[in-house]
Amino acid sequence: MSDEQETKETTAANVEEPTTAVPPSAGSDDAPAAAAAEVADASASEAAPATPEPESDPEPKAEQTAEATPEAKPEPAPAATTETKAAAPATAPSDGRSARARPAPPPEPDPTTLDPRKRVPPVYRANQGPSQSRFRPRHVATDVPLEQIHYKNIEILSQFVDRQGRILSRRKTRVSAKKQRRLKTAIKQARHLAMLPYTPSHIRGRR
Amino acid sequence: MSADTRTYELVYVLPPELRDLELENAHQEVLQVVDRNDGKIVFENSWGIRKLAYPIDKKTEGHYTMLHIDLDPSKVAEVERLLNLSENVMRYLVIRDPVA
Repeated sequence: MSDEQETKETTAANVEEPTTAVPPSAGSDDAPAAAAAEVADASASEAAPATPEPESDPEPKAEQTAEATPEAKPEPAPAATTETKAAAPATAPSDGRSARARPAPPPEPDPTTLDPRKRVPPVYRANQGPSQSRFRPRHVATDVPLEQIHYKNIEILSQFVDRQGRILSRRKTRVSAKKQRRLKTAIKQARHLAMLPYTPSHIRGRR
Repeated sequence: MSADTRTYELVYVLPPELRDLELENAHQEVLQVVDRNDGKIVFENSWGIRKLAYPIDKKTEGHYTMLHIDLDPSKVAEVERLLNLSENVMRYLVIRDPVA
């Protein structure tokens, strides 16, 4: 039993140390750990007075108890150490988790908080057009009376066509469905008569 | 427009290299097509030479002419067929009920 506890104790002590020096034992249950350490020290001083500086600041005590208890303590120290150990592993893993969890979150927020747009190369972003911006203008083209939507009215129709000659969607034109329908047919009629381009002229060949 | 006809708007494009008499003959050809199908021209408007938005048969311009004609709806298909057959007409468009 003492062997097991010894190993556990050492592991517990080892676990405690790397995470955070004092807090694991002292942080959650300050009193029990300190008391256990005191008891251990007291018993150690009683049984083996040769052990150097039994009473010292709380920091070495954890180590001290871990090392000192198994050697000299018959009964009282193991009980104390079991308490400390019972407390320590319970707290230590949680602390270890929290210690692990605390550094972990920072890496996560960094990429997420980083705006994905900022990572896109500026050239590519420039090609994204207005849709990527939340604050794009609602109306790309001005609203137009229905009577003026006609295949001959190229000045108006060209407003509803992008630079590639594509008909703008209603999402961009913000025009009523009826007018959008008329625009669609008018633009297609104008294209047929070569009054509007089907595609950019540099694709079709220069004029 | 009588009961059995409708008013249609016909726009056709003629090649830019046609001059004077050739151009006049080409216009006459279209007018005859309409006439032979009992169409009645109620309005005629020449838009002159316009630049094409894209080249057609290596041509970058065209003579645009617009007609309003009263035509029997059943004859529209025949008019379109004859315009398709025409060597001169590069493009045409027939639409119903012109507004302007």
